[in-house]
Parts: sequence; C-alpha cells; structure tokens
Amino acid sequence: MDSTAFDPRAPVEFRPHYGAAALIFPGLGHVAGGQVRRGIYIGIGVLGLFFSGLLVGGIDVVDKQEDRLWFMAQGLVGPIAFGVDYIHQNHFKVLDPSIRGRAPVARTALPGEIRDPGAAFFELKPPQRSPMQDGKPTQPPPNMKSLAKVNELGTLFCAVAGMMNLIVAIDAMFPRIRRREGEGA
Amino acid sequence: MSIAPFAAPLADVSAVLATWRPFIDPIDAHRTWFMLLIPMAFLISMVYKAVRLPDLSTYWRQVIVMTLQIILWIIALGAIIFVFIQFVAPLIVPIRD
Repeated sequence: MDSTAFDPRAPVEFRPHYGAAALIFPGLGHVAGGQVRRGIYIGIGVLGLFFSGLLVGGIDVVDKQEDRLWFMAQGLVGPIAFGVDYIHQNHFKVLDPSIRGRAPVARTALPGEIRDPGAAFFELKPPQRSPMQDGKPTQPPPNMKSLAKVNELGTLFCAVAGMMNLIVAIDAMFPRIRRREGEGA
Repeated sequence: MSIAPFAAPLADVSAVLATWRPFIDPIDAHRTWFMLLIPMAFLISMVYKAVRLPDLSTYWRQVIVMTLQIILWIIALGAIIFVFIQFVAPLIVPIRD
C-alpha cells in the first residue's frame, strides 16, 4: 500500500501497538504502519521541538522534580524525555547540604559550585567549591539554571513536543481517521 | 578611529560562546526570545501537517503556509492586545492620579 494513500471506504482500525510505538519513539508508529515518509517528518518535527527546547533552555527545562506539571507533557515524547530527566537528576544536580534534620534534596549547583570529582557518573554528592582565580571560579557548575523567557520558552518547546506526540500516537492508533482528500488540513 | 566600540559586543559574544555548553546551558536570547516563535511554528507545522494531510505531495508548501499563518496571527494577536491595553482599557477603567 502506498504509504501516503487515504481510502475513505476503509473501516476504522484500532492499532494500539502503533500508538505504543509512537510513544516509544516519535514517528515510529507511522513507520511501523508503513507510512515511512510521514513517520520521518513526524520524528524530525517532534524531536526537533524537544531538542530545540534543550538548546534554548538547557537541560534545566526537563525536570520531573521541580517542574512536575510541565514534565507530564514533556514525558509524552517518550523514553528520550525520561532519559534526559534521569541524566539531569543524577548527573548534573548536587545534594543540598544546607537543610539540617531533613533528607538532603537534589538541586542545581550554584555558580562557584562543582560536582564532586570523585562521584560516579550517576551519583549525587554535596557540591564542592570551584578553585578560584582572581576572585572568579575557574570551573563552571555542571549546568546553568535557565531563567525568565529563555526558561519559559525552552520548557514550552519540550512540552509542545510531548503534546504533539500524543496527537501523533492517537493518529497512529487509528490509522484510517484522517481528513478526506480536498477537505484541506 | 578606534574599533573598540564595535569590537566590544563581539568580544561579549565570544566570551559567552566560550563558556556555553549546548543542550546543557541556556542560550543568551533574553533580547531576541520572540524570534524563537519562527522555529516553534515551523516544527509544529511539520508535525501537524504530517498527521493531517491525506497526501504528502504538497507537504512542504503546506508547512510553510501554516508557519506563516501562525506567525502572522501571533503578531496580529499581539497588536490587538497592545491596542486594547493602551487605548481601550483606559477608556473602560480611567486611570486616576
């Protein structure tokens, strides 16, 4: 079957595995259903939105702990979003030692703080002070926290990517529900 | 004539780029953030049209048209809100000194 053809006489189909594939990797649901070109465009679009968000706002914009509501939308991109969040939580953050009597919480390192050089790749430890030269830290923190519009837009890019992927997954699940030829889009 | 006034902004840019780590640190777009509407509109249009079009033969033309529609409508919406805030709202609720 032509990957772009539309047959209005075909019955509505329900293919949950295509939807699941779309949620595992953007565009994979359509590729699995034989619509390779469509799936490639979708993959480029959704991943382009997601990684544009990371490029604009840095890894700070994907944060399940501090921006849980936003992450509910971002997570719809699939395992990539969860992987980015996992790396953010476990590789870039440091344990805040300032809260006494309570369990230490992970937070973004402040300027002048660095990760413990002895920590494993996925290991959280209290921050260490960066060596100073001329009153300035010689090493940057693991990542810089984004602020204001840059943070908002980066977060929005990633969240829109997730919401678009939900639409894509629904479309992949019901492959025959599409506008008819000539109806416009 | 000294080129220092012209070279200074370039020096700032190079200093920022020297410490910027892509995908880890945010970009310095605090003055040009509104330009990010263009890639966002383009990528949204790419996904939307890939899902909605029954035939992909006119895909890129449709994507460009939708991108322009989004950008122009956002500009129009901004203009409408500007006129409302600056001119209409003071008529409804006059500002008292």
